[in-house]
Amino acid sequence: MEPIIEVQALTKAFGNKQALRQIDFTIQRGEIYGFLGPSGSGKTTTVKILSGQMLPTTGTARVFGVDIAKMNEVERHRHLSRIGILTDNSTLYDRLSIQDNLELFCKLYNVPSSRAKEVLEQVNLANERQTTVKTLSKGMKQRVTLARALLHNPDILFLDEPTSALDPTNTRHIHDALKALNRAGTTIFLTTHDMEEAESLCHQVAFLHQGHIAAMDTPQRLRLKYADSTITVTTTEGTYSVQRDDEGARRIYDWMTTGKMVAIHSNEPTLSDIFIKVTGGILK
Amino acid sequence: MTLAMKRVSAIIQKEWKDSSKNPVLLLTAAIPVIFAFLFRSEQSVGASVLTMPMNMALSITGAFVQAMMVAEEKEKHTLRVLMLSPAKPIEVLLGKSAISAIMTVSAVILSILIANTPSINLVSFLLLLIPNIVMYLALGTLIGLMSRTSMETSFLGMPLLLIFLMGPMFGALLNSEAVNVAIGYLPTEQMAAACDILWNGGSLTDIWSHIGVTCIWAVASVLLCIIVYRAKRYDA
Repeated sequence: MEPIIEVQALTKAFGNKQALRQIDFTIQRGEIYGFLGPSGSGKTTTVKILSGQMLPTTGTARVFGVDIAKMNEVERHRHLSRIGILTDNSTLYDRLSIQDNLELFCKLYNVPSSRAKEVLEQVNLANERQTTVKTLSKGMKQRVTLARALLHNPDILFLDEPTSALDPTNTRHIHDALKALNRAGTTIFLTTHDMEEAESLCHQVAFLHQGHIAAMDTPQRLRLKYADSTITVTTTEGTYSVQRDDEGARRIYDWMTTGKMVAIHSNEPTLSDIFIKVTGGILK
Repeated sequence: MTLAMKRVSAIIQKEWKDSSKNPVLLLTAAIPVIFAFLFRSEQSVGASVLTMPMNMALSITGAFVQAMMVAEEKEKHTLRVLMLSPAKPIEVLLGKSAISAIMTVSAVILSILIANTPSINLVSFLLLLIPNIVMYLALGTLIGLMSRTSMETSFLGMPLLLIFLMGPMFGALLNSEAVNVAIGYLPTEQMAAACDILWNGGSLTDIWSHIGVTCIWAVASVLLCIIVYRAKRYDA
């Protein structure tokens, strides 16, 4: 495994307001890393620092092994050529066609114009190339924005709330495209307040709460860590909460051997439950 | 063609396509040309009035078209996307300014033709015109960066327009020598004074001071624009 993003004791203050408080994390190449937290928790600030739009107040953020705060112009140019960004804003030229929007960035990134067609196929919009952006739905615009972020085959894709305000169908399209990209080797840094999105996409997640990381691990390990000690069993006679001990095992054995067992569920919490447990806050 | 030139060329092409589909921008660019008909005169009038059509073309088309283009990029968050691409800030500014410059030169030429402005030595005129265009484009970029929306550019830019174009009239009303001296250094007044000298038989050497003052305005505007641009480019 090779670390692609390394953050140590990172802080960011805006006047008296502390947006980030001493956060540490490392992202390995090829990972989908979820940064989860409610609005105002510091997610977008982190993306802005890692993408080079903003300097940290203290601490270090190294991307591709280079300290973001100490990049010279050549390093900054190289950095921008290797990252892609997708935010919840459309950021497209409304009066131009999809093709014109993508062609501009093909030229800026010095990739052939034919790449526009390839990325549009990836997001399932190849047939809409000549459509003017202002006539597109929000979901389609978001897919075009994703296509634009992929034009130069970035090593890291920063996604800041990429599916907020999208309907389930468009969210699914975006998720499928992201999974395919990740399989092809792209590292993805995803900020979201949508726990289902994080569960479905992320290899590792961090809970950001009031500027600090409250918990960080794989979704599965977090669920196991915060699972309670009971198992819910539904039998032909009713639903029971059974302890994970010898007595519980005997009861489950009896229900199974007498054919009364209907369903059995371990009571693993969702990421949303864990977030509430860890931070005492809610996600919105 | 170098990569930098390719990027500038790509931004120019984008601006051209985008501007040609933006009726508000096209109308703003055309306003000075419409006004030029009002200043069409056969009578002998002062240099301030004779240069008014070209000064309007420079300030309205130059500054306001540029301001609207920049403000719209900010409003729609596209300026940030450009800044996060490999395009350097100077390439983005050059690409955006090229279309505004073409529109401004076209508006100046049309305004001169329509208003029957007396002919002037071309070299001298170009030496006056170029720093003026640079200054107004820089001021336009500045107004665009300071505005949150393209509509707000009018609100922020109007005081500047009034001072530059109407300054001499206000100065006369205030009857203050200090104010009148300050107004005399406005780029619009420098243009009027230089043209007056040239129309009265003066040569290029007689207007160097006016070109110099205009160049100082241009350099100061560009520097201010760069400072604000660095601070505001990611705002949105």
